[in-house]
Amino acid sequence: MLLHFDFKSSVPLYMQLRNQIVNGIAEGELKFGEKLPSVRALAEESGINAMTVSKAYQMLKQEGYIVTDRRRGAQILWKKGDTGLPEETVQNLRLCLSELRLSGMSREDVLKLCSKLYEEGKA
Amino acid sequence: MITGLVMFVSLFWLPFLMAWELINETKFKKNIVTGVTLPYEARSDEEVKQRLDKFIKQEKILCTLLIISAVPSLFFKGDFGALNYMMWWIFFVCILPEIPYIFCNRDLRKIKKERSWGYENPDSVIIDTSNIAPAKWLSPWCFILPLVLSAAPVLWERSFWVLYLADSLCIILCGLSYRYLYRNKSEKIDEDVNLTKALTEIRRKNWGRVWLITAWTLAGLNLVTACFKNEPMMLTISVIAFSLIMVALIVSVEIRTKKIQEELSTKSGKGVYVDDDDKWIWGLFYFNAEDSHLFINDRVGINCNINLAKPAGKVLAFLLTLVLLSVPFIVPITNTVFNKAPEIEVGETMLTAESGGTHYEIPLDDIKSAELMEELPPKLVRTMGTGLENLLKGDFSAQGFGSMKVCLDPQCPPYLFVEQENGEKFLVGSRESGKIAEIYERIK
Repeated sequence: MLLHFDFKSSVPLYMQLRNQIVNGIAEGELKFGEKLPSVRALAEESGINAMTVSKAYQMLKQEGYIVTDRRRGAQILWKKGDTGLPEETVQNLRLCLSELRLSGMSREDVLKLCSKLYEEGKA
Repeated sequence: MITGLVMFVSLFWLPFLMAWELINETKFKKNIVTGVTLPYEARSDEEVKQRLDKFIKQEKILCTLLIISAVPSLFFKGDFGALNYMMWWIFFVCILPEIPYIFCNRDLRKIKKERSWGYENPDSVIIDTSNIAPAKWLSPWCFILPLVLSAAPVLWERSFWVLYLADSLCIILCGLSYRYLYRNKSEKIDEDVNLTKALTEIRRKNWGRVWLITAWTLAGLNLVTACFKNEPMMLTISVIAFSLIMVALIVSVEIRTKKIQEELSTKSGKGVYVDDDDKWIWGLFYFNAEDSHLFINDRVGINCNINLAKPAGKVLAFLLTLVLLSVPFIVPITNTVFNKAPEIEVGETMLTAESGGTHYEIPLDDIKSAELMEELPPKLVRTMGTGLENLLKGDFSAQGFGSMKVCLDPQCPPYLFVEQENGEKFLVGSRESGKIAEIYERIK
């Protein structure tokens, strides 16, 4: 899996890492049970601080996407259709829809965009 | 004269090594040439070739001039002159060959810009998780064993204990450097995952080899020192031989690594390739504010480097620069502060001998025996202290005498050998004629 970190982005690095792993799971690039690189290895490879990587992993663990074990490291836990929709995701979606509405997009355009992005994710 | 000869023989090859290292940078390794990342097509570019040829020529001329300039060290009469001259020479050998490299790097960057070969994106980093392999470190026992061997002579031979413990400390540092100076980052140069894995593995293995060679050579040096402690000639030859073996083995590992890196990347640079030239100043110094690591791997070879964007990196670089700049002044400062003529005085109750920082006091009541010697004891070996042709001071040992404290000018006999009631021995002298004989008469 390719991880892209943008140092000039307003999105914090730990959030960029978290988002890419979530996307990776949703798009099937990261499979159930697949091992993630250790915090130290990922930090050394990317140059990002180990604390930043650890923060992203902690977040993913709390959200139930990964499980961490001292021996086996971090592994993907999430299976597609595994559980219900987290409340936070619904809140985020609501905010995104409001932003799209404010930008002047019609209901049809928003649904078309969502459909396109959803299909991209499936691929 | 002898000091000059020893210095010349020990060091004359340094410009060769520097020139070889830098000329070797003109061969494409991991798509990098003299610190500039270039695509495959640049290998056949006439302007690039001409600039590299010019650089090779400059380095060869400089190397020849530096070797010739070492010859005058053979004609100095005193130790001080030869040492002082060679320290300045070392300073220039470290600095001068880098200047043509910096100019070549600058010119190649210019060509790269003109041809639009670079694609630098300093604000982001892309990593491939499939390249991240878990680090397989050598067992700590690989360093513990030479450490034990290195410290073992202390058990039966105490005269060189400082050397044994200093070398043992160096072996501990070797183990720590092996583990913590290495940046466990994949050696990615293009999209070929297998190539990345091979290059990463080669670097990691050879990095370990360098530290193992250093650790085991130091252990061997200590054992040889313990064996030849009473044979000054054999000891000198062994120390020089072990040092040369260590340098030769490390250089051979570096050569082999570079050769493999060159061979494995002969076909790289045709499609997408890694280019992080924007993070390297003159191709020599790493500066990347987005990298949280202090120690990073050099792009070519097996060496490591410092991230100058980190505050600790700046401090380290400042200290290293200070060390380099102080090289020419080491001899004059040492000579002024420490290498003073030995002075010996006898008072009502005490015999004192001193020379710049070394001070011995021998209570007259504690003297068991005193002897006037016209010649130095046989096989006098320095264990810790100064050993110049006109000054010996510090801890020495001699055949038939054992360990003793020395403070004298070896060119000004006679010398006074004194043994205390507690078994401690001293050998002292003075440059003032007749003074030692006078003191001996008084003590007797």
